Amino acid sequence: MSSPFSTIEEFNNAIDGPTEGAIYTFADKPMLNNIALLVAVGIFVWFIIKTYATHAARAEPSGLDNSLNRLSSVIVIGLLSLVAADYRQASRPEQPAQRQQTGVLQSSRRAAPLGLLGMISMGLPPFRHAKIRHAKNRKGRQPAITRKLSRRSSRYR
Amino acid sequence: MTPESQEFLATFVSESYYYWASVFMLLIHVGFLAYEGGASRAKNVLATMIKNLLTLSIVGLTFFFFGWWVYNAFPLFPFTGGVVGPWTDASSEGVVGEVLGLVEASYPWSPALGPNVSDNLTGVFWFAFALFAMTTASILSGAVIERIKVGAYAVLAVVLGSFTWVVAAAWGWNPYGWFLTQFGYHDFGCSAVLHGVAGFFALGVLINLGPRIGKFDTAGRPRAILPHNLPLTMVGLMLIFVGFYAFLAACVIFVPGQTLETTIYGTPMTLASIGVSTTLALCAGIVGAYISSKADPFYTISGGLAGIISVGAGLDLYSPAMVILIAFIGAYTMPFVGNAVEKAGIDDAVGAFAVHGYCGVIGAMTVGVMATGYPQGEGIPLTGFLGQLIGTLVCTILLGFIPGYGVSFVLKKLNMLRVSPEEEIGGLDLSEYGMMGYPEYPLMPEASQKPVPPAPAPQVGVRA
Repeated sequence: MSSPFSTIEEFNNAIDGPTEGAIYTFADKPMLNNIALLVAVGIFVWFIIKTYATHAARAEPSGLDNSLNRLSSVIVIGLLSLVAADYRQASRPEQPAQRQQTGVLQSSRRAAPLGLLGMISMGLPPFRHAKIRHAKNRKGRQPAITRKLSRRSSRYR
Repeated sequence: MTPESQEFLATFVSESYYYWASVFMLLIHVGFLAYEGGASRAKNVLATMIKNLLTLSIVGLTFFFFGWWVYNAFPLFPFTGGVVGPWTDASSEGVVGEVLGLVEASYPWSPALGPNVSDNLTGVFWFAFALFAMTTASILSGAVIERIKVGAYAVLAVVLGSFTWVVAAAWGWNPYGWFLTQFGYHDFGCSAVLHGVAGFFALGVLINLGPRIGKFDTAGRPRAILPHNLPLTMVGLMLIFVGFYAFLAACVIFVPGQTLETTIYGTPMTLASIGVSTTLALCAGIVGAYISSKADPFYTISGGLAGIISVGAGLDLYSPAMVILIAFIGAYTMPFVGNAVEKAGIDDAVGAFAVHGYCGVIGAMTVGVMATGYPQGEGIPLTGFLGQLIGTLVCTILLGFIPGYGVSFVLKKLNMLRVSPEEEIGGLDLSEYGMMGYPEYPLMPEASQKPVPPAPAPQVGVRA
């Protein structure tokens, strides 16, 4: 359930409840909203990259594209790594005093694979694309006559 | 300040709030006028804009004649009661009695709609709803430009703007509506109730209306019919955005005696969050459509609207980060739907189905996934997937597609739907109004590419 409330009384009296007036989705599970925020930042970085690849420029990916891909990947991975820290902070006040240390350790263990998953899902595609482009660039560094011949041979395949 | 003046101040705040929100909602129509005028070809610009202007009159008057009554009379029908009207027992109690009080204030002869110092609010709510109704009909207006007869558009605008969407609002955007009371439906910003109904109604009409001449080649491949003035289209959409802020603000309920702002369903909310979430949805929608359409200007600017509609149903519930993601996804996928409609041989001149129909469905259904479990009153089911699905299907299919297809089918059979090919090729400005939108400039017809001489200046009182 995305709702932090189970009854209409809780909803109407949210200001006195555990969310202190917040009535939005997952207000009682801040980690989910923080992950959504980080994904939103990642989308924005993707958008900035795409602004360099509009119609006119799309035909020939430039070195600038590759640099931006790498830069954006570093930013997104860096932001995702904050998820674990954020979750640790959010969970701390709710733990009983004597079990606080254990809670922290457990939450960081739980969040670490999540962060890694995020790195895999969001970080790697730009690197993979960069690799493909790198391979293309290597092809692009061939002598002009070799490129011409290889194009011609592919046309007659 | 005396208690009486404090009480009146609360009334005045509510009255003023809805009054000015409705005035700013009129900017949606200014925007639609510019948007559709820009999207048409130069030979149709006047006809397109005047058709849009007439929407105000057609829907405004019919909404007064019966639309407002439909909204108040239909919420219980058919599951929890009948249609409430003059035939209903005046001594009815309970829910029927409460609804009857509202119905009696909604007849066109009701004293509540005229100057009446004992009721400052019924009239201002009528004003807001009339603007909602005009907006709904305007969505159809853009889809059918450049080939529909004005009379056919008028009939369809009445059916959509003053009846089918109003029934959807009575059922799904009303504290007594059976979508809410039976299924826990939640649609704060009218994603399915307004946009879904209008988008699917337009789709039904477009199937019968057919594409503009020249839109598809002999092999059925779509050809681009470019807007004659894309900058005007963009300014139009910017104005629509402004109007949408007012539209969504008018969805907030605050009347004297309340201690907090609520939705139409009686759940708490804040106006401030509407400002934040609408802005984020607008921004994320533009980004989504920009990326997926590969910077197509038409889709990019429509993306802002697609983003807002995609989050509209749960705008009062989503966290800001969720708003960004949902708006992005809705707007990102919207151009693919627009292109698929075109590939299916349907000529939707402004992408009304993709932006309003598809994103309306996304908006309403997303509540059933991302905002589940919200209580909305004693004995009312929690928000959930099933309730959203039922409401969305009824809105889009029963109140959208079927009436749109049915009425346009009848008009087509009576040869009352579409202008003749000669009129369409010559341009509707000349055939309908006897003048051109740009009389000083020669226009290039598609066939000959030779300039058409400007039309002679119209003589007052003499029209062919």
